Amino acid sequence: MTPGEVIGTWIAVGLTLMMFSFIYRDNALFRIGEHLYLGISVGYFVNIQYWQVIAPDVYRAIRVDHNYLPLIPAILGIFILLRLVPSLAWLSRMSFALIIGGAAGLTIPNNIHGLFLPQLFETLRPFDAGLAGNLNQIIILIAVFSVIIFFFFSLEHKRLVGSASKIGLFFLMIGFGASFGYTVMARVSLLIGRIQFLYYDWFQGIIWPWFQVAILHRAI
Amino acid sequence: MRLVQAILNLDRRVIYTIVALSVAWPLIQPLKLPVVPTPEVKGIFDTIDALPAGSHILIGADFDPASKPELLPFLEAVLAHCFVKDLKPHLLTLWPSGPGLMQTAIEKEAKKFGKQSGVDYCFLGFRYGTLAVVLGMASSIPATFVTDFYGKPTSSMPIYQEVTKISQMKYLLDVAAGATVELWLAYGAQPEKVPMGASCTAVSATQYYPYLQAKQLTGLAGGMKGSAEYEKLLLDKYGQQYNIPPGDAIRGMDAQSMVHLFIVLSIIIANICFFIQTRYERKQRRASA
Repeated sequence: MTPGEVIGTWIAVGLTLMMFSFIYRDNALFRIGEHLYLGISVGYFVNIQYWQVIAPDVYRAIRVDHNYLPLIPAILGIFILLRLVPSLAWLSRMSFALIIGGAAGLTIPNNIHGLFLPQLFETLRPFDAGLAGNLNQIIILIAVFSVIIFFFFSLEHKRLVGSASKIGLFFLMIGFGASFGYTVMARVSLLIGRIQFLYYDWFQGIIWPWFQVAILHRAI
Repeated sequence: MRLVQAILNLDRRVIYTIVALSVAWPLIQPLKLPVVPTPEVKGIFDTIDALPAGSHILIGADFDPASKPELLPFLEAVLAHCFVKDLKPHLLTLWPSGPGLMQTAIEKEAKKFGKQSGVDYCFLGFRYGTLAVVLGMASSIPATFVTDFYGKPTSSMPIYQEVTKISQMKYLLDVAAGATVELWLAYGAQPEKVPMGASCTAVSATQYYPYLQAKQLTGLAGGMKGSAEYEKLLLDKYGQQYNIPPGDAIRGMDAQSMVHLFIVLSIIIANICFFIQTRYERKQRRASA
């Protein structure tokens, strides 16, 4: 490990323990860690925005390449910031109109073709996939229609509609259960990642070699 | 009854301590529990494994340090797999806080397998614009990423004399901590007719199963478990030949299993205690009435 890596690891260990201290109770160290994280993140994003967007696509394009087209999006960007000035806030509507219009024009056809229609075809697929496949298809159909009925509020959920919505609720619960199980796994993975860092990078990488050197030094 | 009440009123810090020990113990003393690859993960591995040498793969690594334990092992394993098979990965990220992790991963794997930047692989780094980046790459990668992560012009690189756009890729893979799988699918893979696989955080795994069911994805690796399965497949097929060690995900799965076991036992015990207490309180109420 280089001296820089050793210092970096020690800082990361300190910050990890500061954040973990919240498990015991809320405290000043946790607050310091939290604010540091927030401050560094904002600073990092501003830096990235400047060096990845403003510097090459606006500043360099205008000053070096003499391409004045980027002035249009740059001015529209400034219009958004003008929301902070009440008398000029109306200018931001032009930028938002362009963003919303452009995004809608791009996303609606692509999402319909790329996501919605293939999913619809798969849901309404003919029964030609063998016994297990057909059974799976029937379950999917029942699940999709019953969940749609569960969220259909124009009819009172009684009799047939009520029964169908209860089946829908059952499928929703299965979905939520699966999501919750996966969420638990995700959160545990984060803890494992931190403990792996503390054990492999800090203890095995720094503490243990220092400890061995100290013992060797004393023995000599 | 005292024991039941003690369990139900257990201080949360005791539970935290047991969880911390359940994670730490298997890391110090590995249990070597088996990792069994599922068809979902095999779907990605087999597709990549079947590609002929020299094929190009586009890898979107759209995650940041917050998802490192879940997704970085997968990315490292896929890169190792690409280099073992002499495939040419093009790595990029749509997340501004991602490049540092990706740089470490690709440089480590490239060094291990003796691969050269700009010839055998390319690390494009980060570019702002998410949707615009994917749409731009569909028409021209060197025009969208004028330089790679290291500032070298992409148009003069040997790798971009072979391919220049998404449709020329043999496979598209998104390693995602957010909703970028749908972005790559709708704007990259589907319109350009490129097969796609995805690795995602466990939290978002259920969201992507419909795309797997509809065969819009060839495979799906969810969370640390998915990463461990990919590492296992790579280890079984190429581990000895290329001296590939077990990765962080496989080593982490012992701890994952221990914590899950503790959580399941806690839920069962807490429910039993709850029912015992409810019955006891009902009896007490009846006796007092």
